[in-house]
Amino acid sequence: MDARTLAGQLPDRSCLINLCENRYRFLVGLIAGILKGQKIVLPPGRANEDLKRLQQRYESIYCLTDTDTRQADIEIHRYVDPVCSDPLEQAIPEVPSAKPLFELFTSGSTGKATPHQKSWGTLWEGARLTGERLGLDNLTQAAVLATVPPQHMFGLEASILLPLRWGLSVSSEQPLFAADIAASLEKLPTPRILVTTPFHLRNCVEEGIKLPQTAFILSATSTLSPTLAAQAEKLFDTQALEIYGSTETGAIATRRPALESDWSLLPGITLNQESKAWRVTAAHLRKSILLSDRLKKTSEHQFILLGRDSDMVKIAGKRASLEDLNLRLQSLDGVEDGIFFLPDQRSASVPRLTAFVVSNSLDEQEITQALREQLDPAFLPRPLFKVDRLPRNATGKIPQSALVTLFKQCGAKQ
Amino acid sequence: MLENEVATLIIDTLNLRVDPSSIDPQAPLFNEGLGLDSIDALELAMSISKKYGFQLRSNDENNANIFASLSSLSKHIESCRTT
Repeated sequence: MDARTLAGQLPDRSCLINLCENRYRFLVGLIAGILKGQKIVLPPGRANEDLKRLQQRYESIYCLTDTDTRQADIEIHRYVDPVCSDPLEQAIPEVPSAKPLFELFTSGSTGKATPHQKSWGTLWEGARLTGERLGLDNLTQAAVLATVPPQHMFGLEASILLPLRWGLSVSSEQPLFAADIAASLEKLPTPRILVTTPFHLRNCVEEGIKLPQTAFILSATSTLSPTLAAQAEKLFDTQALEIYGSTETGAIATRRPALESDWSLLPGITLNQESKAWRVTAAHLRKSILLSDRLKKTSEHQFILLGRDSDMVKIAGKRASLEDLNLRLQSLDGVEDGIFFLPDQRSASVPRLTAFVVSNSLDEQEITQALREQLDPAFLPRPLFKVDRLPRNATGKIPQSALVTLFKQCGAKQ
Repeated sequence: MLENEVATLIIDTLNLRVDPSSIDPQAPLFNEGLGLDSIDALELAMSISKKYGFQLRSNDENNANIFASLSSLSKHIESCRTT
């Protein structure tokens, strides 16, 4: 087993940051870390800043990577493909089920990435519930291709845990472009499962590419519109299924957007209303979790999504608090005032933030450059407008309607 | 110059509001440089296929190489374009 070989080479530390991009190596690294009793940390990003923060959090930590050659201040263990002598000799390892073995992150309302602990038992049971819903008991010969990284919750669940739990095979590739997705799928035996996002799917549909036959397509990270889902189902002669979940909860519901707007909760998961928010409870979750989405129950086991808390935005699958983004913008040297704004871009494919900034000393490019050092690229304003002043009212607040007007004025000047 | 044309395409597609001539042809387009992400790459792929009549392929694990810089992207377009 490659994992045992690798476990013998890993440094004696308590935490492993698994940055492997090749999915097979990621999986081997993950199992090797578990065998060695190390905690598996999956960072919010690959930026040096993210790694530095982790180093401050844990003293005994290192990075396992198969591609990254960048100089970092953190200890790096380069993944070298192990030579496997006798693949059948070893038994499958026993994993403690209740211990918090994994750490994943969400961008919390304070802007600092918030860590979430996951036990093997939680992930394993989540994979059982999701797999049963997806009918994997009849697809145990299936091969999975994922266009998402395994370091985030959806990728970890759908491309690592589901295959482990149900004995599926997994492609080591992570294609980005439509033509690459088609080619990677072609290499796999049938039945095939494509784990992807609406962004990749839209690219496939718009490029008019013909995807090889799949048993189903599984999408998450942002809403899969009924239109796109129906187009994909027709073009690729498949079912487009969607997962609803979060880093905190993992997958909790599924739907088929081409046919239904209601989400169906996975068995054993309950939703209870607490004033305006909803709390998720399930036997495999260590504790109950409050959702940041607003929703409406349509039956005991079904609900529709109404939207997010108005402060939270989700761009390209990543969450952030507008208040925190505004604070960071306003704290930049040379920026007098500023505010982020999410325009109503029904026509635009991926919603992007825009920002209005007041500054005497900096131009648009300089402000954007300063923001780049602070923010994930997903949240960079596209575009950023410099204005003489913000339309603050007498109490210092900026009405949403004023921002809509300002956005129209700035757009017209371009 | 194709490089200028591609710079303009990037800026228009991604709504970047920078001057095309300010993009360093050798600087990385992703992360450090212009701070683009993979969603941007997909948006760009669609614009490129509309304008230059070919579909971007990453050839193995070289997603990053094509988008390494404005210069490398322009060279790639030059060698693959059908229009």
